[in-house]
Amino acid sequence: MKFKLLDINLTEKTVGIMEIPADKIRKYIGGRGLGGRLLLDLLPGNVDPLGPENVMIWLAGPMTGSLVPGCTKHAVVTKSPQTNGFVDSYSSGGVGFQLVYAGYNGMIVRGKAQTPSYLYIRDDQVEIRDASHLWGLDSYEASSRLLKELGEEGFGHAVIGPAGENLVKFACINNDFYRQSARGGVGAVMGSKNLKALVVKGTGGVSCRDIPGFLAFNKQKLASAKVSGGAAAHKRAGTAITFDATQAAGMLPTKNFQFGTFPPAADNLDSAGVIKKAKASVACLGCPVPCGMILECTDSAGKIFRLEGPEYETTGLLGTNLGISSMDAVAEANMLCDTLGMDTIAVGAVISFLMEANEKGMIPAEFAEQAGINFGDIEGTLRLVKDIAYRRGIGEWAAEGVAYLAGKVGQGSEHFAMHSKGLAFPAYDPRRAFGAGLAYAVSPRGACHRRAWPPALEVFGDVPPYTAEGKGVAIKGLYDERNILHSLIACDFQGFAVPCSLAEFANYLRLVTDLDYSDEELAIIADRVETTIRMFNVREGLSRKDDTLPGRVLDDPMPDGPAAGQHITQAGLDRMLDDYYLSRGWDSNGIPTKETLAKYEIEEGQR
Amino acid sequence: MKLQFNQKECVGCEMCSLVCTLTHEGVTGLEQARIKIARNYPSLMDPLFKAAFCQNCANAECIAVCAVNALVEDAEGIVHLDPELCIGCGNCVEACPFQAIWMDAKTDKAFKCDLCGGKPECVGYCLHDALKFE
Repeated sequence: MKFKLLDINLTEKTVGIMEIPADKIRKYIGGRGLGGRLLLDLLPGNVDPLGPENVMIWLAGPMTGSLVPGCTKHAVVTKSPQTNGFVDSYSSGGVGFQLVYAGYNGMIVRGKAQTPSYLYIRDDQVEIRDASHLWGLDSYEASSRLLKELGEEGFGHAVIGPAGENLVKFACINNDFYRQSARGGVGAVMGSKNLKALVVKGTGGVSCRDIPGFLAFNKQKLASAKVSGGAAAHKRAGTAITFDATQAAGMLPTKNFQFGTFPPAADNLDSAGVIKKAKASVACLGCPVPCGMILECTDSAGKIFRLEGPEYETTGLLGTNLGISSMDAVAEANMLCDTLGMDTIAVGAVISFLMEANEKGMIPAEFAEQAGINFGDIEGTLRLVKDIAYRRGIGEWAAEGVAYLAGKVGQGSEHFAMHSKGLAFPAYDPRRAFGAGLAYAVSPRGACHRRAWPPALEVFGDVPPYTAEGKGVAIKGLYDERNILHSLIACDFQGFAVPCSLAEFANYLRLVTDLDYSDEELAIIADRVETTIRMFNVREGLSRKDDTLPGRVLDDPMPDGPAAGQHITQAGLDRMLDDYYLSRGWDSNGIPTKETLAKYEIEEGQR
Repeated sequence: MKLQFNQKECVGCEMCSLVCTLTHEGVTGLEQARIKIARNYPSLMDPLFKAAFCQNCANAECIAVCAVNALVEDAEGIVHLDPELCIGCGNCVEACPFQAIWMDAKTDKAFKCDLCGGKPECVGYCLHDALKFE
């Protein structure tokens, strides 16, 4: 299999094709793996992530748009303005599979348009079009207006809001309205390129090498989806079932990760709360797990509205972590973040930080009125969300992310700035599962819940949670599985309904494409992918010193819940890092050794 | 026997469309699907999903407007479209009250649901029983 990528240069106003040869696809598969390889190849070291020299790589996987369960999403890979390292951000919505249906496995966007622009892709018609009339609009208005202008149904769309235009470092890209490429500031990179939107539609399809064989195998796998308890639970309550689990486990971020449980959220932000407001469940294209919940809520002005969401991370970061237990309030803040175009996790993190800083009397006097808000303040939260998107007042600092904000506030507040490499913590307190702390620390994009799902082994599995022992190898195992899934761009959620081993995914690959992998080859690829991405970050100057956790989870004992008294300690983190690096073939500073690069056949990229 | 859609059960996964194109065209896609699902986004108001597929109408308007008899109704009331006879005039596409006949831009012929010859593949792929054939 080869990949055919659109190669668009906004500065030169040119559209070309880049073909990725079969041997590179064989070594990196697609998605995360190929994205890491291409970013290393296409960028020299130390470029400004918000400069025209940064590239955005939009990728599908080798089976995107097929009937293989969960193969709908696309990846956006670029150098992150939030971390100055590698970022891969995934989302569903139509962009990925429509690109494939149009005949492309992805696209590379280079340069910077002189004036606000959008990309129009309909099969082989690819145009850079004027978007002056869309600039300044919120992402929903911009999408709606653009779709109306096109006058044709069926386009996938990706749009930034004002936050992306204003280069907020955690601006997201909104896909098909309710889905986001949220993490790492990919929306700011789009904004820096004057690229407001892209719309794409393909009238073709994905071929299948062995249709009878595929249909027979797929029938067998989907039979389990029909009777799956996991799928049924997600259909009923969406990702709120994770809320139930983390609340019970004492892992729920509460008041800026000061606590691990938030009793007032019961029946409000958990699955019971979601079920009360749910109107429907929705699935992504071809997915057996309808995890998207349509909720009907009431905003602070008394207006009834519907949204797809909030999902778990948002109820954590914009809910409990702000001391807010009202689903209506979380939903309103969620919609505000979506329309303005910001990652709900990162927005929650800066606001919770400000709330705690206020609690401790650390807010600088000039911002006392604007940012002097307490946990639970819904009106203040909504106001600050807007201030961040438009960089007003303290929003100018907050828009740079919680690490920068803490640097400005000072007074030791770095201790409770909840991030790793500048990327805000998702909604799992790692004091309840020390391996989750390691997963946050070593994730190349910064604190991330998707490369190794935090509760997997230490809450739901039988791995002891409160020890550093054995975590290096255990977390590597989780990462390696996701490295394959995310290179295929198969959603982790399909596993709730269709238990599909990597060997079974390899079988799907054989049936749909000409890619044929053994289990051993997949294990090598998983290592190759992680080490290749590490090499990108190493070139950017990142090393062990950046694989860190905030003082709160290292030093402060958890005050409440089942994890009461627990904290990771620096020694614990060091032990886990040593073990992880060793398992990867990286030296004690976290740098891949020459032998490791040779073993996994990783060529060095540009200098 | 009729193909029936219950929008309350639909989750919008479009597996019906994907298996339709795979079995009819040999590729998975949406444009050439003979059953198409539309989402009511961004308003999310009911009905959230609509399905377009041939209803096999009695006294079908598509048959009435077809000048070359490419559309015919069989003894069981199923409307068939013969692509060999179709001249691509598009009259049936305009006439269909359910927007369930489409033009294939590549062949310049109309296409519609053929119930897979009596055993619709989409029904088997609907994990949520939104589609039934009874």
